[in-house]
Formats: sequence, C-alpha cells, structure tokens
Amino acid sequence: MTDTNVAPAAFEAQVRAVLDPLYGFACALIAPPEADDLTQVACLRALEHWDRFTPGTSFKTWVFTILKHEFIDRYRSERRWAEHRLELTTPLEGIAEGLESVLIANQWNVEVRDALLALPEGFRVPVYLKDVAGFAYREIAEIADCPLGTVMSRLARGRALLRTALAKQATERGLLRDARARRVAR
Amino acid sequence: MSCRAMRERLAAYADDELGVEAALDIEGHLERCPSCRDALGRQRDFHAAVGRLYLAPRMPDGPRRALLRRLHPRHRWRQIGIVSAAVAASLVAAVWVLRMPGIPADVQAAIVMHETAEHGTAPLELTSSDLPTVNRWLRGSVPFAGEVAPGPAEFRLRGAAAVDLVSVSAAWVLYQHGTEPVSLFVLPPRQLPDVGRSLTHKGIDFRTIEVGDHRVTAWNHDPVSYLLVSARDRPPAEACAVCHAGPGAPALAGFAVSDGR
Repeated sequence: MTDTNVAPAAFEAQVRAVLDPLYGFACALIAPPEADDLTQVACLRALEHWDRFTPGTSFKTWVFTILKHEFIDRYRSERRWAEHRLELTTPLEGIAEGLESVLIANQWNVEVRDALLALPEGFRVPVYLKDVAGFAYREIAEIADCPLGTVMSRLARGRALLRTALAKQATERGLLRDARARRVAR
Repeated sequence: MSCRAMRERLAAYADDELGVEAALDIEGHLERCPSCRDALGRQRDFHAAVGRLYLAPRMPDGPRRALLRRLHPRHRWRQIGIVSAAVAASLVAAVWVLRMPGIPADVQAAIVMHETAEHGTAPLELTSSDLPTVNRWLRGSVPFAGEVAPGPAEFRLRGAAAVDLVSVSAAWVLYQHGTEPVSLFVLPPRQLPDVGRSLTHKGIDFRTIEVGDHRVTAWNHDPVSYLLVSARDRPPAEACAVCHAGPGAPALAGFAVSDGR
C-alpha cells in the first residue's frame, strides 16, 4: 500500500489527465455533491493502491474501476438516482427515423443527459462508458465487473431504451412524426 | 447470415469491436442488404449524437483544488506546515480578532472560520462526508489531531482543513446539522480560556463561551484540546453529539455548570 502522505508526481499527473472524465462518470452514477465525494474518495483510494497499478496498462480504466467499486460500496444500496423511470418495453425496430438529426438540430444536450441518467444503472453504465467516455467493450467489462457478453447485451438494450425515450419526447414535442402512425398511413 | 443474426452483431461492428473475420462477414452481408445498411447508419449516427450532445460536467473548482492539494506534496502539512486556502482564511481571522474584546484570539479565529461555513465559503482542504476518508486525511495532513469519532446520522461530515487560529495550528472538521454548520477544531494541548462558564463532567473541565450568535465549547482531552463552535440558540449539548453516539448519549448527561469567571 502506498504511503498516502505523498502522491508520486506520476500519480498526480495521471489523476489530472482523467479527473474531468472521472468526475463525469461519478455524476453518471450519483448526483452532486455526492459525486464530488465519490471522485475524491476514488482518487485517494487509487493513491493508496498505486503500487498495485501495472505500468503500461490504462490508468483511466483502473481508476474508473476503483470509482465504480467505491460507488457500489458506498451508495448503491441507497439508490439515490431513481431507478426504472423508463418503461422497460421492447423498443420498436425502425422507430424514429431521423431522430439523430432532430437531436443535433435542436441541441438536445439536456434532454440527452437526462434521458441517459434516467436509464436503470445496469444499462446506464455501459452506455455512458461507451458513448460518452469512449471505452472499449473489454474495458467496460473490467470497470463494470461483468462478462463481455453482458456488456454487449446491456449496451444494446440501454441504447435502445435511450433512443426510445428520446424519440418519445421528440414525438410529443412535434419534432418527429410517430413511426407507427407513418407505417399505418403507408 | 440472416438479417436477424446480423442485427445482433451490428452494434459491435458499429463500435469497431469485431475481429477481422467477423467484420468481413458483416461487410459481405451489408453489401447485399440495404435494410441492414440503414440500420447500421442509424446506429452510428445515434451513438455519435449521444457522445456529442452529452456534455459531461467538469469537476467544480473547489473539490478539484481540494483534491489536488491533497495529492500535491508542495501543499502538504509536512512541507509548509499549513495549506494555502487555510492561510487566507487565517489571515481573515487575524484581521477580525479585535472585534471581540476579552475573547481569546484563537476562539475568535475559530468563530470567524465557522462563519465562513455559515456563508458557504469554508476553505476546506477536503470535501467529504465519509468518516474513514476524513480520518485518513487528518492522519496525513494534521498528524497530531488524531481521528474523529462517528457521530449520529443527523450530523453530516462536510470535510476538513488545516488552519491557523492566529497563533496556533489546528485541524478543522466541519459538520452540517440541518441548516447549521458545526465546527470542531482540534488543537495541540493548551490552557483553557479564562472566560465563559465552567462545566465539569467526568473529570474533564469545559468552558462554554457565548459570543454573538455563537457558542464555543473548549476542553482538553489529552493529548489534544478542542474548540467546538455551534449556533448559540441551539441546546448546549446538541453539538457535542459530533463526538458521541447522539444528543441523548449518557456521556453527555449530567454536566455540572458553574460560573467560571
């Protein structure tokens, strides 16, 4: 275990490089100000175990993994983010054609964030880690501590749920025609 | 390959997660299947839109500075004895000590520090509600202070800082009780202030000093001494709960109060 009184320069440099993405991930797991605490605790825990980090491997993946475990230990049972706010219905294949253009044209930053954060944790984590943080599947499996196949299925499901939620909002605001109605009209 | 089998692997292909052979299989299918090509395009566009539109927050400056100070040797207690944000707060405290005639300077400084918490500008070095984290920080940053004990749930830890109470170094542990902050300062052994009311409990002498809207309770408990700052209009023993199991804990009952002036 590393002496927590001294942070090696290499460690500090690594932390500085990943601090914002790490904080972003913390915010995807739990709302501020707990996300502040979670980020700090994860960094201090990483410092404690700095001697266990394998040079040449990804520090970002390592510290994200630590943060995820800290979250599980400290907060998961409390369920600070309301779970299951989305209906877990099977998304319709082919629904919402043109949705991406609507999202970009209307700069749906808040809507995308809120919809992603409203996903149940099991789906939210892989979607965030892949589409926002840019991790590879095997890295997501390491961080989320689950098999690769589980990552793939949850990612697919999470993306489909996210797409459905955003399509529903866009349709309700009149920005997107209901695909089912369109199909009926054909 | 059927379209159904194709769709199950399309996301992995879109994410560049397939090996060469699997990717070539899919590309062969895509050349023949406009429906799967459309699906692939939609997936890629959607993933890209999410990544582009989701604006991940930047860590706020306060917690960022606190963390980096915690990690950066230049700011550590051992090197320079005190941390920069606390120095600034200490200077503010020093400027204000003359506003409370008859009150010891360190008590005044503790009150000024506490007021920064009331105003939401407490210069904490560590922001954390996690007791082990705060204690780790205390061990590393203010070694003489020891550790703080778990308090009742209604007293939420907010964090800690190394501060200078005009002429004496101290650890500042900040709690939140409802809407009110409660400050616990841990100092090296010292004489109790010769003001306020005297309270004796289980062989320990206490002084309670009421200044303006604040109550300061001072006591020695070898090898350190303490200053506890809280709101004057709250019950006297309430803030003591930060070190006890709760406001009704037996250790808090039966204070013998007398005029110590």
